[in-house]
Amino acid sequence: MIRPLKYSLRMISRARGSALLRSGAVAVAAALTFFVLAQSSTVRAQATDLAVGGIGVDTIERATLSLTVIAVIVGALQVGVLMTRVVLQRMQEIGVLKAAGISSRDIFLVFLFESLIYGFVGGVIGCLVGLLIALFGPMPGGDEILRAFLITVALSTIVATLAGLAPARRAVRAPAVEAINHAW
Amino acid sequence: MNENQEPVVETEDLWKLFKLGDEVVKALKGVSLSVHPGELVVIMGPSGSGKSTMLHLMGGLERPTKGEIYLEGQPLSGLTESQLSTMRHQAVGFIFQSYNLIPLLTATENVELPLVFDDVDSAEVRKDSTELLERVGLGHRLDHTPSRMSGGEQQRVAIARALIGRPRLLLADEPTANLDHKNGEAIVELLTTLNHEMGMTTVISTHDRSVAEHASRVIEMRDGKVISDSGSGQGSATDNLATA
Repeated sequence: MIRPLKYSLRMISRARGSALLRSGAVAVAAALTFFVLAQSSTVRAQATDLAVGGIGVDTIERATLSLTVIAVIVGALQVGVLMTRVVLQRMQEIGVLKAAGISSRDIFLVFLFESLIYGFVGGVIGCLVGLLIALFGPMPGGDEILRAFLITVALSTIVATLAGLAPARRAVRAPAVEAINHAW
Repeated sequence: MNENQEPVVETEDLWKLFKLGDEVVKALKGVSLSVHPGELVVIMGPSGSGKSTMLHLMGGLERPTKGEIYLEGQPLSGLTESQLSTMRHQAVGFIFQSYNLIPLLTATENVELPLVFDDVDSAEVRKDSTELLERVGLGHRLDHTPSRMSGGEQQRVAIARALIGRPRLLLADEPTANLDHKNGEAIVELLTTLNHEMGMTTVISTHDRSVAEHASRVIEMRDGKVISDSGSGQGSATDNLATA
């Protein structure tokens, strides 16, 4: 486990600009999730206080949930698309690894770990962005921020890893000779 | 004397068919040959003669449609994909026409790539990769990425990468095709030297007749068949092995 992880980290750190862009794509969805989660209790409290236009608490809860679900779906699609592109871009590398007799398990883990890392880093960046946005509205309490932060990062990491399963499998299944001669 | 030793690789009536759309292309039509320890074999032939397919099959990178390959006596048809992969990892080093180095990695890291997932001492691997790069004449390029190296230099890195796992069989598929004559010549000379000094069994595929001048044995292929074989056991490389 540790060697594929080290390799993923090395490849991501070398990709610099494009790695940051990929994290950014995940961060957009994460920022939305964080913002909704952090604000939900504040909004709920205000709604209960004022009983605005008869909006019930469960209406707000439902709105919060659907926004979060949308953000998660958008994030999953982002990771799926960008990791598929990463796998295609690195077909020659995959071919070389296969020719050198690297096990399918290690190749699979390399790409799965990359998805996981983009999910985690994107999640953290997203929370920071979400916090910046929150500064313009009613500031949520420390507990809410911490809770929203933990949920967002966990969700982003898990969803990105799941979305990375298919691209990673694609990397493993590529026939070695075709992968080596793959022209991008 | 060579004939008494077990061949490093032996093929028996190898056939390989590819489907291209509705057409079936016969890349190999019953090739049988064996390569003995220490030999430097050049497989000559125009593109489409089946020489690349031959190399892929010998190294266990592809499976034949029909026939058998024995790598160090082991029949490959009985191996699962993962056993075949392990076999490649331990016994075979590949060199490709287009070098196929990883653009984001330095020369040293590219050379170490085949061992990156192994449970090995990384300091020892680093020492080994540095020595190999010095040996192929790139001691001054250790930290360079491929984009800062010439084609000839990149192919030298690829040779060092193929050697890091100490393979018993080195397979070079058109290693000079992307290089000018001078650089191509230098690559072939390097492969010849490695064959002499390390006794590394080497098979090179090429369409360049001048490459054949270095070989202890030349096999000519046309349309998926061997049309001539200068035979084994006569080369200087094998003599060297006997005295080694």
